[in-house]
Amino acid sequence: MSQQDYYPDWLVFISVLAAFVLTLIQLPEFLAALRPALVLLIAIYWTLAMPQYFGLFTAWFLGLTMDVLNGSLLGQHAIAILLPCYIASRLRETLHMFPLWQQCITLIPLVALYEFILFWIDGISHRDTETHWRWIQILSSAAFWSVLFFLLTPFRTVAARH
Amino acid sequence: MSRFRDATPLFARRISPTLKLGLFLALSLALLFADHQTTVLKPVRAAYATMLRPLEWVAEWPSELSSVGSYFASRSTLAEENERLQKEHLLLMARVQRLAALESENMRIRALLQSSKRLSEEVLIAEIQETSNDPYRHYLRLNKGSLDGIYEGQPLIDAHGILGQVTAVSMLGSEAIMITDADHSIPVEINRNGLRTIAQGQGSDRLRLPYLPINADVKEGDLIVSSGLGGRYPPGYPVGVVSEVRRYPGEEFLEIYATPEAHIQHGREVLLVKQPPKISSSVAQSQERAP
Repeated sequence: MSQQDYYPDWLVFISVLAAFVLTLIQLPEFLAALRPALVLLIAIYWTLAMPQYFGLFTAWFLGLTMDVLNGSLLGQHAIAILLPCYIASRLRETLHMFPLWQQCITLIPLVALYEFILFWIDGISHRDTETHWRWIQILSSAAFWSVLFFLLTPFRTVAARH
Repeated sequence: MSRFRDATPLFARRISPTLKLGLFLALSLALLFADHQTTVLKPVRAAYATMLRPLEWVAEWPSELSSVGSYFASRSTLAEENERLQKEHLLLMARVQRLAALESENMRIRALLQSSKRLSEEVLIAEIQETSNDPYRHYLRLNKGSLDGIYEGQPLIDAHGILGQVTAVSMLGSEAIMITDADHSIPVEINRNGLRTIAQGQGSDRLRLPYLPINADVKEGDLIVSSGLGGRYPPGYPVGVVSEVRRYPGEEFLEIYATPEAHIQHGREVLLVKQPPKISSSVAQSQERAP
């Protein structure tokens, strides 16, 4: 195993809450389209940073919460967050080696997967979707990863090797 | 004791992440299916949503403090808007003054009307819950039933005219047939000259007035009102407007069509008119169910 990072417990809790609140806040239309997929980003971040603490179940549960808040079909966001988190956890060691800008680029396909799953389930269940705006979120989310990184890494303490 | 605790288990207790992924995926798909096809999950969702309500309160905060839009509104546009609103306000105030005069006039005329009318009708508002999906069956389901005093055969009107009558009553709901249903006829008269006839539903959006002789005085645009014969419908309510009169030389009867006054396809509320039955219902039944 590589080195273990430690973050304060409250930070995980607060960041998840903040992600939900920021997702729910009403924005003017042009800003709403650019709103990053915050809950997904937070889920990926903690999956990478604290895998012993934040596993697939938590990611899945955050997705379910998102479904209830959004009024989408139960399980839609759950799957959409679960799969990218699983892939991220598989790529964990590689991602840790990457500089920030490469991490951002790696996030593009992950967020795209998220959007695609949402889009796909929307299509199957015959719910109207605004396709064009959905894809912009991919870029804004990837860009927001760097903001998240700068916000959260200062709290990191690297455990001494045993 | 501690020896056992430290020993690594022979079989790994931890489920592999891939298996976990599969499990959650299957679970999610089951949830998706259940949520899309059934209503089983509704209470679960409602309960969880109630628990998440505080989160939404927090999120509503900023938009309550100040709407984001007004941040970007400049002073000049605000001033412009203010001026426009002031003008509008003045205009509306002037109109309201006239409204007051009209209202009092209306009250006086209404009072006159009331005194001359033999029976005043009591009205109950009901909400349309459902309309029939079949385009040729014109039925409504209403949210008022026998508990609210609805009875079978009760006439149904909206703000513009007669809509239909109640055909089936349960305790908390009722079903009503509309005048445009092919199985429905209503005794009417031409408002202009009192000519009596029957308006039959066609299963489309218009009514047919049969049995009027070729020399009858009917013109396009004539208002048709209920005649009150048969005792089912109160007299004098608008039913429709004559939209088409065809005279075929050699035929004995005119072919007349009318469009209903009531907004058959629109609206969510209907009025149920309560009136004392005048004639035994069997007579009314045979009158209205005429072929």
